[in-house]
Amino acid sequence: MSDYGVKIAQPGYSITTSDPRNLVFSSAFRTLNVALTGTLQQTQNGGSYTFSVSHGLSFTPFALVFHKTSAYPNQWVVSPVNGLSTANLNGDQTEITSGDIRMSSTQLQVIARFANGSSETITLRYYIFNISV
Amino acid sequence: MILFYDKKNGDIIGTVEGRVHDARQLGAWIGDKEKVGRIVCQWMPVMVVVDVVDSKGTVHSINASWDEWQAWLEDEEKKPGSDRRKYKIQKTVWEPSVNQKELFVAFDAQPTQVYEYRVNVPSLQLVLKSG
Repeated sequence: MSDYGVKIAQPGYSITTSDPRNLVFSSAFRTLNVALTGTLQQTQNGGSYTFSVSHGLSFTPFALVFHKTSAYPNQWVVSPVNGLSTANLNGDQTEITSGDIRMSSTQLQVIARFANGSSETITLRYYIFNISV
Repeated sequence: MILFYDKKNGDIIGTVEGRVHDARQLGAWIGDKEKVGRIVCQWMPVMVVVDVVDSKGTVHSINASWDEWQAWLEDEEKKPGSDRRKYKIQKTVWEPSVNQKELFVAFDAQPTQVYEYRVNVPSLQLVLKSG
């Protein structure tokens, strides 16, 4: 069988001889293409809230989630952060705790917990990829 | 963009981003289907700028609406000797296909701006949150 496919090399590298790490794209390898991306938001004073995204894929996909809170509106933090949310490290009470991001073959779920006292907003950015975990 | 809102109070709870959504993306949902509604904003091509090469080899740049371009293309491809190499799309202009286009253009550039709005549930119009 012939060796065929599509390759794109970085500027300055040969398509035919360069190592795969110097390619921008090669159809020989799987890529992390995004099936769904978007944002989620909830404002709340105390208690918890479960975000859910029914992704409609037929497998359990790999996902990345970032979050930011109203107290630190310019910091996107990767979620979860091993049980210590960066929001907490910053002195903000709102948190997303480790293990509270769950992916199944139907849904991405993220559980956010809010401190009592004042209303806070948490915004999430999610990426769901076309690759199975 | 597909925008999901709480049917009770119109609060926007999440989005799926993108300009053109296929069946798979349209199958996605945020939150509880019973309690959450959605507004789907598909973008459509509305205008093209096409370079066309005439029989003498001269290139003409044509601005046309998308519908005009499609009709022209259909006619052109019926002609004997039709050759796709004679025309090249230089630019396609896309627009949201819903009311309040300007808002969806803004959300396309700055997606979290959507949360400055809520949905007026009866009319499904986006209104700026007060305060």
